[in-house]
Amino acid sequence: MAPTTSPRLINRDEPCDEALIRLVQRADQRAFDVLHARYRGLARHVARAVLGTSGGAIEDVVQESFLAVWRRSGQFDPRRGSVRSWLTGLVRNHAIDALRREQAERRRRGRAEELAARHVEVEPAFAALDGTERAHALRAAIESLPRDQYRVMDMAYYLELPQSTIAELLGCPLGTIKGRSRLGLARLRETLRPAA
Amino acid sequence: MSVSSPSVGDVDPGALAIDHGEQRDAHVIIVRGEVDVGTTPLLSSALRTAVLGGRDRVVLDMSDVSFMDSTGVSVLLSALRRLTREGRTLAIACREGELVHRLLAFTELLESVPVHRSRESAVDDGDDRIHTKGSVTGLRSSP
Repeated sequence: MAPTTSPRLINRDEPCDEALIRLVQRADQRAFDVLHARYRGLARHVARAVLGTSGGAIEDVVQESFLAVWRRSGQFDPRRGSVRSWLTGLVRNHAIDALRREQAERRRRGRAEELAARHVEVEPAFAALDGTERAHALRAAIESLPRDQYRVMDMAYYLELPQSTIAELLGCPLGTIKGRSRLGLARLRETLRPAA
Repeated sequence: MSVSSPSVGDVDPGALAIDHGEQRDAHVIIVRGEVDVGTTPLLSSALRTAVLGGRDRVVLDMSDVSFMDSTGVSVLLSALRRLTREGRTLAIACREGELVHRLLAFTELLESVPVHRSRESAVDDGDDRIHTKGSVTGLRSSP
């Protein structure tokens, strides 16, 4: 059910928003609970509008936003707007952050797949895994490498550093880095190949 | 067949030491040793404690960190995002020109996190900052 867009009728026994925020600034848990009950529906609506989804992600954003209300109530300035607009602004910002994290995670999974396809012979069993499983399988395979090879492959794949930079960071000749990379790739092919 | 070096999963957690406490208004985490997939959980736990601690300034002293991999960078980014969202600051102290400084520069974290040459400067948001990539060789020049 969509929340009403007009201000909720305030129970005559409940303080107004600004009074509640002043109480929250003094760590008044009951005032916070009233504010939470008053605006959680609107917060969900705002979060859903940004995230375009439902369920757990929205609840996470709403929880984070009210946690921010609790921690940052001192930052509310009535000269800059109402409690309602301040709160919805917090929710919108948290929702945008959550959306960006999700997009970044999708790009990371996509990149792991792309790197796996480009650098490692894709065995049918590996190819049959979905993107997340492939990313996990590749990560596990890289972590199983001997330390010297792991460090090179980790910097190349996950930090996307060129070999010359890796050589500089690790204080090794470029030829050594190239050698470890070749050995590392060979091991990854073996690891990701299904057992006979 | 030659004996290969141990896999990273065999890293001795003793390869990383972490101390933390409070110094003036900052929560300070002092990290010594190697930050990689075997030891990153320790750093992650320390940063989580700092984030939950609520202090506005969290200082990570990495002056004695000899190595860091992508999992370490990821943990830093995670803490940075969380603190920034809450209007708080993450500052790092490290030795100029050494691995942590170079890694922060190459991954462009140097542009997002205040990096200082000393813990004292990081705690006080002092002037002893590493502002530029100029001391790190081999970097692409800014457009």
